[in-house]
Amino acid sequence: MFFGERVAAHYDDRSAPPARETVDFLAELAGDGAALEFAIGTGRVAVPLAERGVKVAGIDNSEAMLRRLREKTTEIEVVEGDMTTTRVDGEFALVFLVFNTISNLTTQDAQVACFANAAAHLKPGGRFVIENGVPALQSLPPGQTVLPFRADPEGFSYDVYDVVTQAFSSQHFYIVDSKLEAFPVEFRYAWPAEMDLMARLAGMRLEHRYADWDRAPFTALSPSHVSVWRKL
Amino acid sequence: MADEGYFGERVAARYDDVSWGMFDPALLGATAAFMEEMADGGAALEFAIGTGRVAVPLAERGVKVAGMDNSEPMLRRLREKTPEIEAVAGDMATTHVDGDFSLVYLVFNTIFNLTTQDGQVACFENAAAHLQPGGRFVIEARVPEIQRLPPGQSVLPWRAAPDGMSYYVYDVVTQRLSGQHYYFNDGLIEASPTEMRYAWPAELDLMARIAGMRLAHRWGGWKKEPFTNLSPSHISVYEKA
Repeated sequence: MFFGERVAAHYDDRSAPPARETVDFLAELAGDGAALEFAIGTGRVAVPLAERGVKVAGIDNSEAMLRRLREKTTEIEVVEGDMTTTRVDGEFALVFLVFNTISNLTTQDAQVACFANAAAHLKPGGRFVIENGVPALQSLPPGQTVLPFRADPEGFSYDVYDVVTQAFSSQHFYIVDSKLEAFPVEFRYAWPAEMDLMARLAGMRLEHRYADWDRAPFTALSPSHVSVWRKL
Repeated sequence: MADEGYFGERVAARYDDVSWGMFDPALLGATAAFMEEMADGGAALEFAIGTGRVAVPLAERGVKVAGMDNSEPMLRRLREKTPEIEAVAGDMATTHVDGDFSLVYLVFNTIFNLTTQDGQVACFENAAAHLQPGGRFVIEARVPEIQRLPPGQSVLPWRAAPDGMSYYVYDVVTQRLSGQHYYFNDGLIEASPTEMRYAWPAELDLMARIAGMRLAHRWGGWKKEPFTNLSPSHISVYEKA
């Protein structure tokens, strides 16, 4: 499991705080209602959102990450569990899942179940928001499977693609005391259009697709998307 | 028919002549043998039956075949070939044909001729509505050629021949795909555009799921070759629950 004690201990040092636009965007969609974050982690987004006065709850499958969150605040109700099946009490105006974390579910069935679980927590008219990278297949010539994306004095990273199954593996390597530490993470990529059908199976429809939290238009060159589906 | 679109009289008249390899007897034999096996003794319905490129050899194998197509000129060519195949004019997303089918099939990328995701989903639902429980929906479609399209590029050349050329124009935001075909005739050039929407294999799997079907097999060819990361197209078999 990638998000164990070792990663949790340094997660907040290695991750940038969320942009003000992210919190603004989510606060606006929550309105007067409550928000539920899937894969809440150490509360990178949830803590500043709660500080805006939004009632926030969360689910995460890493107890180590949740311990960090509980050290920061007692205002956020968190449940350790799987975002495809775990239920949190309450009815929510907003469920959100950011920073490509839908891709941590490594099968299409699990991703479909995650959309269904999001919809099950929403009141009618409520919204599910996902931030996710667009699969980088335009950078992967036919027959190539490995895409390097980082090389610096501290190490290097590759994504390894299987375009048949849509599985991809991020292979991160860190140089620590002249030794190489490997941090592999397994993912499954999904196309924006494929997610729209996951939403449809869950009784939701696409309302907006932006390039970022500033609501910039989503274009052919957008590396990621912020999508909003609305429960019917 | 309000609009026969690309497959009007002009294209229908020469459809069986401009082969591009798709009328190769070995290919058609393998296709018909595959479909016969999938029909499993029952009747087959072809969506976008056209001039009967696949339906005619399949019927010759003894399978009862019906079909629909949105082009009356294409259907006229089919009826000239055989009276055995019942074919109706209509839209494969909505038109219903009477009968009890164990196989519905839609080949040669024609699912992409429906230019919206909603239209493609409706086509899967319409296929399922014609099938008995356990029946199969077979789709043959290209894998979107995004790996040949560097970021920022939208046009892919596809054919350059003494009698013309073709380009595909991609919009990766909407998944719209426009085929721009040009033909030289007597020193003049004729443009023959066709509008499509591409869909990913995994996306088609969810269309099937919405329609109450599940992926049973995905192959790279009609002889059940494996589907690999270099397969240019896929043959997917969905089974109705």
